[in-house]
Amino acid sequence: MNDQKTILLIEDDQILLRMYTKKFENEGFNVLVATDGEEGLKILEAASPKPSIILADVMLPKMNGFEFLEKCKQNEATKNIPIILLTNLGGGEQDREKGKSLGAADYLIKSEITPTEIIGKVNKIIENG
Amino acid sequence: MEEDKIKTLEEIRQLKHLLEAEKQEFLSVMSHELRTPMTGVKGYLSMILEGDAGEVPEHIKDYVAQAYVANDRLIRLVERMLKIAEIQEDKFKFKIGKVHLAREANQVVKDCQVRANDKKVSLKYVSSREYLPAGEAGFVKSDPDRTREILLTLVNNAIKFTREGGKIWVSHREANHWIITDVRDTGIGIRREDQERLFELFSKGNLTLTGQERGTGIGLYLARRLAEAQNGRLWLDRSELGKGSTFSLALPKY
Repeated sequence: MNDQKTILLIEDDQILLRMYTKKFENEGFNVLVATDGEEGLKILEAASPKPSIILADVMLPKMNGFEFLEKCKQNEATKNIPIILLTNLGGGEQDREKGKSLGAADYLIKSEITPTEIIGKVNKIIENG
Repeated sequence: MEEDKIKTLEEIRQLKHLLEAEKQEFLSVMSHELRTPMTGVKGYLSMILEGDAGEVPEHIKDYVAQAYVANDRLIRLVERMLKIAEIQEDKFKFKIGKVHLAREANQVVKDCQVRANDKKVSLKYVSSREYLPAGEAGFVKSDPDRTREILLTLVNNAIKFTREGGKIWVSHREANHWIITDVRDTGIGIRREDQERLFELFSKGNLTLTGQERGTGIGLYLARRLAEAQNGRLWLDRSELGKGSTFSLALPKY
């Protein structure tokens, strides 16, 4: 049985997407990637098995992270997958509360956290089921 | 004529609203655009230090570590500038509540202890009977995160401007409707001619200090704005060149 964890990364900035992909692969994750919310939904729908967790940027083209989160929570097949929102927007506490109210597992400011710290949070959420 | 004046005033009002909305949009976009490349630098440097790119020779590790620290400083500078812009625009959100000031001050001292120890500076929280961290007295009306931020600025400044062997104390006192927190140090002190501009934006004070000691000139400006936005006060209580300074933060009692 394959115990490898799968993560779906949705990030439109190529440098950051490459960085997070590399880090998660180094930590033994199977990484699915998308560069906007719409693509993220398509990949999620097609994925079998579904990823253990999703990391989604908030400021995305076509469909932003909040909209993506809402869509996932409305779908029986994906509503229980934890979703961490990542942002560098200046929205502060207001956006954090919006994310939490929509069901985000966490809301992280990218510039304040290293990839290793993100891995720590991801592993903790997966462990807590 | 009167009608023309009213029309002009209305146009000015509409233009002002439009400019404010565009400024807010600009702030939001800039905060994202500035932070994103810095996030990349932070992330990749941390990955190099953690060995993701393979073993790093010792002599290179220090270069990378210094680059990481410099980038983090840049990130903090951008964060502060954006915060200042939000405060100036009255867009900054405060969560005012019942805050145990002694508990916050005690925690700030604990958080800064490692830095003080590294610099061989004594940092102590001096609690009187009334303001023991677990005590019932000492509640103020403020935003706990912002209060902690102000105290961190004052204590970190005290550490920065106090040389090895020096001392710093954090204590409280009461005055009418206020509880005042004093951060006192035996540091280098502030020249009289610099004291007036201390809380101005980008005021760097004594130019004879090294770049590291001078700072960016943002911390005290931001700290005072945060204090005043919570109906508090922040001031330089006393300072003497070569002997030290005392900064005081007054917050309204709950």
